[in-house]
Amino acid sequence: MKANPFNLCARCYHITSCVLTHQKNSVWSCSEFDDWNDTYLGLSDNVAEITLQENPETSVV
Amino acid sequence: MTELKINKGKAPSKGMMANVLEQFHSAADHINLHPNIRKILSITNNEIVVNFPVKMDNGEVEIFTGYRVQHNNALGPYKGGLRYHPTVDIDAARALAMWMTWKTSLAGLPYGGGKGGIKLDPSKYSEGELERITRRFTFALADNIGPEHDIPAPDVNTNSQTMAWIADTYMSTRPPAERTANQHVVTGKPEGSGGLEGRDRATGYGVFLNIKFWIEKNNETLVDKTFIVQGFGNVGYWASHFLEKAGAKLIAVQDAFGSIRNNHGIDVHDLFDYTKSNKGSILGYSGAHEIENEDFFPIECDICIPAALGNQITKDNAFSIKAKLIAEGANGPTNVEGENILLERGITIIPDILCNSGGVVASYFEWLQNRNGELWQLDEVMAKLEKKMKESFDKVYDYAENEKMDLRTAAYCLAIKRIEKAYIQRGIFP
Repeated sequence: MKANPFNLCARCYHITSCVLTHQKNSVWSCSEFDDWNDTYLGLSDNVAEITLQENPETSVV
Repeated sequence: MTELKINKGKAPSKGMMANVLEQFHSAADHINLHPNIRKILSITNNEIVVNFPVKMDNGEVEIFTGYRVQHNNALGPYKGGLRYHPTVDIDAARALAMWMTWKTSLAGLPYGGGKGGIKLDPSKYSEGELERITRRFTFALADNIGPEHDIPAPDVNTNSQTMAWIADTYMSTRPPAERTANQHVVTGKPEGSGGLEGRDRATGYGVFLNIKFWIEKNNETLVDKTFIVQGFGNVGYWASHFLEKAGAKLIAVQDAFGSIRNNHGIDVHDLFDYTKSNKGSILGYSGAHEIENEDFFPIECDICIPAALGNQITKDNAFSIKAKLIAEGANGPTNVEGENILLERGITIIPDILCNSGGVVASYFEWLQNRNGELWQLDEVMAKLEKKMKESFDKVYDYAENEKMDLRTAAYCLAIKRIEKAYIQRGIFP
């Protein structure tokens, strides 16, 4: 069977400095994984805002 | 344009989850699992690959590949996470789906196991693009997911926002009168959109509870017990929080940046606040001193909680561990050789499949809450979680005692026996 290539470290912010493991080629789960969450996931896990139209085309009468 | 391909019956890949397969066959041998059921559980039920187009911000169309592997549903709908990562592929999903089957079975949940994701580098896309990718993936999966069929959850690089987009898209494809009845197509949603209060602390609380139950079984108390934690993320932090509340003392922490120690105790909340203002790092915290990383696991303590990543306790360091109890908050932190050494030395390991199952139990509660049209309060969630975790712990502990085996083997035996029972009762169609 072929070895699985899934590896978190390749995309992790800590890859060059992480002290947790020297085997940075087969990590499939890690609490310290920090990829790109500053831009999307957000540390507070906020839900995206929904912008409402100022003058909606339909109005409730 | 969407290509839907469903493969039936591929053997799960070895590789990163080799330990899971080994554990399965080892446990199957222990319980003398019927050969036909071993055959069924050795393969995945369905493997779905979808290629779908998404319009990018610049007007170009890009094609993405998404996966969903459904390992087994003998006990109920498939359950498992969706991860977004450049190295996601069917092999990764296959092995992780299988592991979810054992985990949900052991937890006594009415679920099977599944896993999936999209092969992409999230950093290359805007939030709007990620939303459209998620929604188009949901549409491409169509009825291959569903609240009574396959229920995804957050995983690597997906979060409550991702789940909210999936739920909204899936519900939008239903007839109007059925839309709100499908909110439980995913779990891990934001609290305001059907999510469960307390979901954030569920896994860490589960780790704490398992430690507490083991301590009680041994007629001891958590007061003044010392513990060390590797990984100060969600699981490590919450487990430490509850242990500290119960009177135990955190004396060392290791994260991606380094290791710190204070034999007089480290204030969990103080350290957590410090990491928030220090780019997530524990280093430089004034309430502890820095130590060499290789000195972390050999620290004299009562409880060791590896809550970061796999393969941390191996033949290289298992001999030096002083803790009496290892509580696996992470997935696969102890490898087979490391475990053998620990067991020979009389050190107990609460296995990952049991120890960190609080998260999937909380997912089940969220699903139930949505399904029944209820909103549960935090104290109710925590009480139900404790009851469920106690049932699982007691079953594993008693089985291990009766059969004179370690907790991990006992956990796998119980998980597989429960699925075997369902097959025996129902038979094989036709």
